[in-house]
Amino acid sequence: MRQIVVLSSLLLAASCAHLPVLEPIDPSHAQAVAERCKQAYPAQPWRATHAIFAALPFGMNSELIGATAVDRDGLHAVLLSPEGISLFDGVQKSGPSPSLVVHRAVPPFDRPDFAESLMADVGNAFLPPAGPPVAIGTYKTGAAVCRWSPPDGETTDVELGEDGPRTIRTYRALHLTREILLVGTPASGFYPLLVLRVRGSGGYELEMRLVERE
Amino acid sequence: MFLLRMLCVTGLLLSVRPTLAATWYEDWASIRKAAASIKSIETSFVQTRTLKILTKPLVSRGLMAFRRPNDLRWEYQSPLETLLVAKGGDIHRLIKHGTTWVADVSGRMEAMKIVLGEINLWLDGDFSSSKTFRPELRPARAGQAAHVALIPLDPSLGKIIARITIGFGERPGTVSAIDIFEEGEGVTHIVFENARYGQNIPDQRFEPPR
Repeated sequence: MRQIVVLSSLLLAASCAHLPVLEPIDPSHAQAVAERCKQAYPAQPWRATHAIFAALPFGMNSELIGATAVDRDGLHAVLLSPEGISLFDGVQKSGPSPSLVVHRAVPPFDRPDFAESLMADVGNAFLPPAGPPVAIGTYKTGAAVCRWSPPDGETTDVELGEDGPRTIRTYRALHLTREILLVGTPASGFYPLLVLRVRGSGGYELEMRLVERE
Repeated sequence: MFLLRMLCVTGLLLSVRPTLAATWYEDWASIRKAAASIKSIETSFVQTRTLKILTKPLVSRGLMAFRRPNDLRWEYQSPLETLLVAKGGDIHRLIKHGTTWVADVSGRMEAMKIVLGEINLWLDGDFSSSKTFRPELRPARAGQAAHVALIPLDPSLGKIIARITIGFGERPGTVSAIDIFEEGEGVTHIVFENARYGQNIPDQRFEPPR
């Protein structure tokens, strides 16, 4: 009986999973909305340093320094302890044969899935999805939204507030996987504070305070 | 004539020969003796870390307080706010989140926790008691001042920290700089500034904030 209940719940959850519905907007406004959505991301190339407070499962809090850069090679990410020790150093190479290269990873940052997750966090926060949005509309709340849905990739929604982009959301297989709140007044696409929330059983939250950008 | 030239040359060499005054860091015993004269230290520090992907070094600032025999406060004030306090063997590690301090309970960096736990040994001039590092006293060489090099005993720690060097201060019994070398090219350089010695430091500086 219990198995039936669990199975039913899973089926119900699967059947309920869907992307938020976008209401159509006046086509004459679409281009302006698309331009504003691009302001969620800094113009490349760039370098930045963030102070990161990580709230991890089971009350595991940690504070780190994150250095990131985008150049012609791809997306670089380095995590440092407060004492300056390099905990993780990797690059997500771009180009015709993209690959993830890990130069250094010390425990516990050497888990097989860590590098991929970190690069996904950084990429979702700072790299615009490729190409133009496939849909522009509004949520039921009235907030304007740009949506990218590459084939076999994550769907990305950039939600606008009155004064610009406020939230980036990513969905995989119709489930919300990551939500990034853009807090404060941006300068050249860098916000003073980003709050990144990853859903799921091993979910976590990162508060990324901008220290410096180039 | 030859004798005169010889005398002139010898006299010149003697006059320019540097005075080889005995330093307080000639051997372990001298270092311990000098360190014992320092009852307390309060100092600020600047930590710099260069990264290939950044054009400017990453600069962190903080405060350090030490009181013999083994009370320590190691506080980063920017860009992160973290605090380690140790008093009577009771160690607390905290992170500032918003306006409150929360416990750092992560398994973030056991290696670095070991290092911070050893700083009071170094300030006490007691390098040989370490169970984590093998100390080597290295005299001054061309371009490099005399220093202590600490080599990790555990190979797994060595993969994270290749070695640490402790630079001596001019004042006997003091440390001027700490360099942490990683495998490869990474170096963290910590320089102490505006140090005050022998002051009476209240207990609460070595206790977690209330």
